[in-house]
Amino acid sequence: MGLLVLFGLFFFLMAWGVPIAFALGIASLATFLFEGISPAIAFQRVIGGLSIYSLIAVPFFVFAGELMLRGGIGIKLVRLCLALVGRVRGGLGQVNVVSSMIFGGISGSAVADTSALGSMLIPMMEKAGYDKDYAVNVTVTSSLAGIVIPPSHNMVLYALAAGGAASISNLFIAGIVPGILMCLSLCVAAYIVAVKRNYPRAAFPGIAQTLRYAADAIPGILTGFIIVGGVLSGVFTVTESAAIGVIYALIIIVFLYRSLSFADLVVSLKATVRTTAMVMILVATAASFAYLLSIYRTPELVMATLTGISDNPIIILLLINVAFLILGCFMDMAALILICTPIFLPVAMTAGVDPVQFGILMMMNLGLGLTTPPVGACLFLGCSIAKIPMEKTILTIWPFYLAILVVLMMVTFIPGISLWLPNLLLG
Amino acid sequence: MVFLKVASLVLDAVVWVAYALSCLAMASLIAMAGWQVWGRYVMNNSPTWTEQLTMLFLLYITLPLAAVGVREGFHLAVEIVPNLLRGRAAVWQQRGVMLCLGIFGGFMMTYGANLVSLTWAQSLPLIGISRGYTYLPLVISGTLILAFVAEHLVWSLTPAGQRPAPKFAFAPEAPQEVS
Repeated sequence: MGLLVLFGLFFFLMAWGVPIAFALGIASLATFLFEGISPAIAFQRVIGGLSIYSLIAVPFFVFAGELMLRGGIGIKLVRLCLALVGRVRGGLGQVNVVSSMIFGGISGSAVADTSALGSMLIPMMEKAGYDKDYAVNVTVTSSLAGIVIPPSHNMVLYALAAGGAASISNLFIAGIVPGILMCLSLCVAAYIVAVKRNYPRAAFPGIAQTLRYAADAIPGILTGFIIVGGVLSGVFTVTESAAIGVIYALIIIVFLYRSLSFADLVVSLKATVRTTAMVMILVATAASFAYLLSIYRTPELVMATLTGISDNPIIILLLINVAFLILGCFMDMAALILICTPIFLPVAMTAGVDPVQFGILMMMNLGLGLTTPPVGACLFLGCSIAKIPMEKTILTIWPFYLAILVVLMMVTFIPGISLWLPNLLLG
Repeated sequence: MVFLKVASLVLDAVVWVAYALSCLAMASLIAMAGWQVWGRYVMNNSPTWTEQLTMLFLLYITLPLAAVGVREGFHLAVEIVPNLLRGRAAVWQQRGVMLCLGIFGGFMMTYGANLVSLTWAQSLPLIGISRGYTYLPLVISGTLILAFVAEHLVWSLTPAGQRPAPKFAFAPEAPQEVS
């Protein structure tokens, strides 16, 4: 009955329009009262959920993303990629995907990626004769690289929600191969559509110019390597690594690129603290919610339900994939990671799935939700940059969804894709 | 009406201060994490107070600004049903949401104060200040949520329907935030 109160109230409040973090908090509070437990315990859990040192990495990653977004690293990266891969048929589509792969690896955010690269590449593609829907589709779907390729603050959230079952460094490494595969798959899809629509090639600027572009872009690109390298080498903790990444990015952007004013810095800080509050209040109230889920032994109930459908681990994993894809269409990624991990991870682990592989699957599945209607943040952003109705984009986006789904299925059925590199490097 | 306008002006100032302090706290977090690395590798003397203090700062950034999010409406929400509503139905839906948030804020303030008083005599390890400071952000956030909800509800009953745009803001709105 308590579980019914918890979930019933949560879904009702969420559908009513109560912010998700507060819907989680109110549903938990009501369940505590229903069970006759002091609400003080609920608020103790709220504070306990925020008192984890690794969590501090999240605002640092967000700040690094903000600095990348406003610090002009995107344009340097696009210039370099244009010189490197622009000569292919529909070269700007390839440039878009490759830039996303690198920028996403620096900023760790799909929305920052869509915003920074989309605002440059979508108008550039339009001017070069590409259709708006194609420009938006490539920009939006390739932005998922920001979530899968390390560093990614969503992976930090997953590692925390997994309660130590998966380490952040393992997750970071595990995202590299699936992220690259996803971008390669998107490059193929972008190429096929480009050939079909007869899009142009870009001119090669010459080797000397390409080297100049590389020299200009590399200091910015190094930010991602510093963060990931710091964590993997064990020199820094994930929090320290993210902070060093921010300090490095600030030095590069302010002193080398000179592209960030004090006013921009304040805007970036304000945006960072807002996003921090938005994500952290979710973490806090989800901790209270997760405490109740464990009291009610929810993972065991879900496991019993799923094994009632099939006891084949692959079918169970596919069912979880489908659940994630559907939920991702309606809810934000951070909220879903925090709510779904305590429910589905024990189920997946019982079915023999590695928690690191499961984390990568979750990132890809829920990330896809950022590009789907009705609430896909990246899709909305891409459409608003191109000034094109979402309905028009959705009609032609399916080759790109298909490209991601192919890789998603590969990661689901072949554990080695996500686990080979962490096993090789970290043992 | 004049009283309401003055109250909103005061709350604008509260929001400004919350942003300013949070930004300072965020800059301090980065400095502390950097100092920790510097202390460990350069000074050969790793500071012990930074971890505890950064966690405390995170609470003071998150909870008061979460309340500001109630006023500014920046929290993540599923808005499929609200977007379908029009006219009076939309107004009542908003009032219902605010009422829920207000009730939560009230509990947060009351039980936060309870936890502060229960833990005030204990001290936090490594930094030596009262453990009550860990729970104090709950009281601040709960109080602010109640104030913002009251402001919203009272304005929704006036002919204007909603509070006027803030007279001053801490910094311009970011064109696009990272999430």
